[in-house]
Amino acid sequence: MPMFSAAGPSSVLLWGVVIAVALVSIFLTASVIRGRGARWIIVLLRSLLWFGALAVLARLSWVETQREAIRLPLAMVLDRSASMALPTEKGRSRWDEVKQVMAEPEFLQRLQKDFDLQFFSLAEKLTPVSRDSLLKSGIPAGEGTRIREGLEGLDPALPWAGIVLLSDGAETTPSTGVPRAPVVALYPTTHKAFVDAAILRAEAPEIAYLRTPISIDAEIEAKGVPREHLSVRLESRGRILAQSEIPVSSWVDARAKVHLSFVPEKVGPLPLSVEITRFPGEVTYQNNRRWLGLDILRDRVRVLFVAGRPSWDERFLRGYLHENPNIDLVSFFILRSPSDDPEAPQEALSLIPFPYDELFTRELKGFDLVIFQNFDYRTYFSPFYLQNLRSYVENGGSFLAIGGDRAFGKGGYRGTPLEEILPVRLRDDRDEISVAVIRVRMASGGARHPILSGDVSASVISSLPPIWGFHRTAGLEVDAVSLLETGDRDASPIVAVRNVGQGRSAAILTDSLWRWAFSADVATTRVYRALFDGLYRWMVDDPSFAHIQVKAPSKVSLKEPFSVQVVLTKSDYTPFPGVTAVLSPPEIRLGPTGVEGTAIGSVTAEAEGMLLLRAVVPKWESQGYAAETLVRVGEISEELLRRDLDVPFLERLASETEGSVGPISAWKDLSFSPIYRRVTYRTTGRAAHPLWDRSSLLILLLVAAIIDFALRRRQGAA
Amino acid sequence: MTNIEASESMASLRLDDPRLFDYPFLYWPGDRAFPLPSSEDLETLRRYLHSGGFVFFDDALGVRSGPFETSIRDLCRALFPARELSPLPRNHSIYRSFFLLDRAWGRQKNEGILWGLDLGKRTAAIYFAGDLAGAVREEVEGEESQRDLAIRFGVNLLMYALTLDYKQDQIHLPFILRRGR
Repeated sequence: MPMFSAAGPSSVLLWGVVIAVALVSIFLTASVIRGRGARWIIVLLRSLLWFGALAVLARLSWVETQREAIRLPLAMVLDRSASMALPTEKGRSRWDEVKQVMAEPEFLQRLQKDFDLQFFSLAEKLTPVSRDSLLKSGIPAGEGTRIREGLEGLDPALPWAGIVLLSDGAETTPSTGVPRAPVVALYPTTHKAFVDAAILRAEAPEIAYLRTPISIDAEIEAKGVPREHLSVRLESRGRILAQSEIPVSSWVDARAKVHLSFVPEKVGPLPLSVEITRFPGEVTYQNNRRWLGLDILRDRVRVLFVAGRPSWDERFLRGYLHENPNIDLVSFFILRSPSDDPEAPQEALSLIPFPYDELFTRELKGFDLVIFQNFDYRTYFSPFYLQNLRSYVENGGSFLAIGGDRAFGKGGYRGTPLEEILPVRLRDDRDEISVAVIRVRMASGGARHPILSGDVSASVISSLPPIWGFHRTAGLEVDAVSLLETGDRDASPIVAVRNVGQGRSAAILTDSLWRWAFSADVATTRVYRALFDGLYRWMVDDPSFAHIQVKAPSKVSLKEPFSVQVVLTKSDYTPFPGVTAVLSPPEIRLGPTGVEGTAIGSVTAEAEGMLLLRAVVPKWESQGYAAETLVRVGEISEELLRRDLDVPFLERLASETEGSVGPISAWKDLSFSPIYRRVTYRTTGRAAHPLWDRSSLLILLLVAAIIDFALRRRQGAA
Repeated sequence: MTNIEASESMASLRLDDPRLFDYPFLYWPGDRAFPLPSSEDLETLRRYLHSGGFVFFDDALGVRSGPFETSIRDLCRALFPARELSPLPRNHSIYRSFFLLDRAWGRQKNEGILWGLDLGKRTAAIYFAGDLAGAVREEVEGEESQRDLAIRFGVNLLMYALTLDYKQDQIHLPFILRRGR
């Protein structure tokens, strides 16, 4: 920018005095001139003369600055996601349009002249590339479009002039980020004759129960196809579970929601696929099928809870069981014994008869778990019913006995069929019950047992409040595992478990575990819940507690090998080395297992979908050494579900960054001014042109002085 | 009378006593206003109730909106600002936990309404303006059966604290409905 500079005296006071003298002189000279026009001419001439005098005095110069524009970096971002391979109405792909404009000399040359162009490929992430390699690359195949995230990834240290984005705007992973530089967005020609039917969404409930109807919700989009002929099918391993036509009235804006229901008949992982009709000429058939995986849980667990008397131990256990939505609880609490006199007629009481005959004969098999808490059976029924209970456990049922003054030996169970299935041998002598207030510790068997895991560590157990009394026993059964024991030298079992035939039994040899449920310390109450969570899940044969576990990634890629691990444990959950398992499909032998009970194999999935992997130990399959898991092979790209141009998205992006947006075909009409606004300049040189020593200035001043003299003389003032 | 194993000793505790959590049933009688406990004590009581504790406020005055009741309502609001003491419905388990009752009974002659504060599926605190302890302690003039009924109510109260909504289980309903006819 041109400007004046002075090299004469620098005293502000001196200059002030000189300028004041000049102004006074001009005023006095002009004041004696009569005509208004002549007066103004005199003022002008005198001002010029004074300016000339001052220019000479100050040695005034005319300074010219030379500068040039700085070439800021400009990001050229080209969308390489799979949706860019879709055809436009002109029969070419969206990518073809991008390549065409990039090949136009005028387009790039203009930008290249003013900016330092840097090229990027954009799909699931932003990748710097050379222009040539970008334009020579094949059909776009990126499995996602993360525009905002990608643009946010531009080097923040560089002073970007802007971003030229060539994209269809079909972002698959929405984000809220705003790019740091103006975005000039160019999009391909809008497609008007789309032919495609797609399953946009297929969802299954998070929890699915055996023999309980399950609804799979799907959203279908159909463009350019005869919708009245579109049907939806739900399959599992080649078997059709449900099928539906979509009524014409269900379609809104080319979309429809459909619900497919079925009733699972088997517990465990279940692969599912949802498929829609394939129509000729669809842009892709990959989005006509979706895969789902469900883990079918057993139906609600039925628990029979018999308590010999109301107590705090019963109250807190009932509270725990009642809060579990998976438990169907049937309780019988003995509120009054035959010797208690309620001092009121029967009609005034809410008590009901104890239907023991019904419960321990016909109904028994219907329960998954039976709990006796401080319950003395002798008042109510004969040992015959205990025989039923033993058979129930041996055939797959679960039984939990909890202590108190009417439990174990005190409840008359010593020598009964029930004792035969308990984890401990009973005493019934005077010293059976200890009233000692004593701390509990984790037994050696507890450390490796899955019942005590997570929050329940040995140190946590040792820090819990002491229990108020416990049952002494005649020892553990040989195949039982003590999980918790008293912290004294006797190490008397407090919680013990045992596998019995097909079933399981457990014993809690105290009636004061409620003190862990009711505590000012939240960590203590968590231990109570964790202990009973683990105990309950182990007793009802939760699959996560199985002695064979098959572990594989939940998602793998097609035809890429992945590793599968099979872990085997013995009945006491110690590692099971030296065992060979069979994994299928494809059938491969794994093992023998190492000292950790683990064997690892490699599997390659040959087809997309949900792969059901099954691991078995053939000789012990009937004893439960079989497990399954689901692996998702490949996954439909979101690109194939977001096929439409999203111009509004690009408009928002341009608006937020004060950029501009328009179609590729009309790029010449598009304003690139947002990126030029950021252009800055740097000074390359300065040229000073002195005014005070120019002869033209002296001549000009001389002429002015002559005119001034002549004019004043004519006015009679000279 | 019942199968509950009751201790004959009673502990009298302050809210800051570490033994508070040895006693899941808190009996809180009164006949006059009292200041709000400290914030630490309020937190302890809140934790006590959330963990499964039960508190019974027994108002000896039997006066509607009396000073003790006002203090109890202030206390409940300070404990759980989003909840209110509200009348327990007639089909609440407390009226059928052992005896079949149609109201609460105490020394005072009033409607026998119970006001409760629910936490989840259970009632954790109950206020009664009927002086239950007074009725159990002495004969009520002119109403010999009132003491018996108060004792029955007391049994139901303890039974509810110990068994929660056990009597709401489906298996009990046919029997209870038959006797209610």
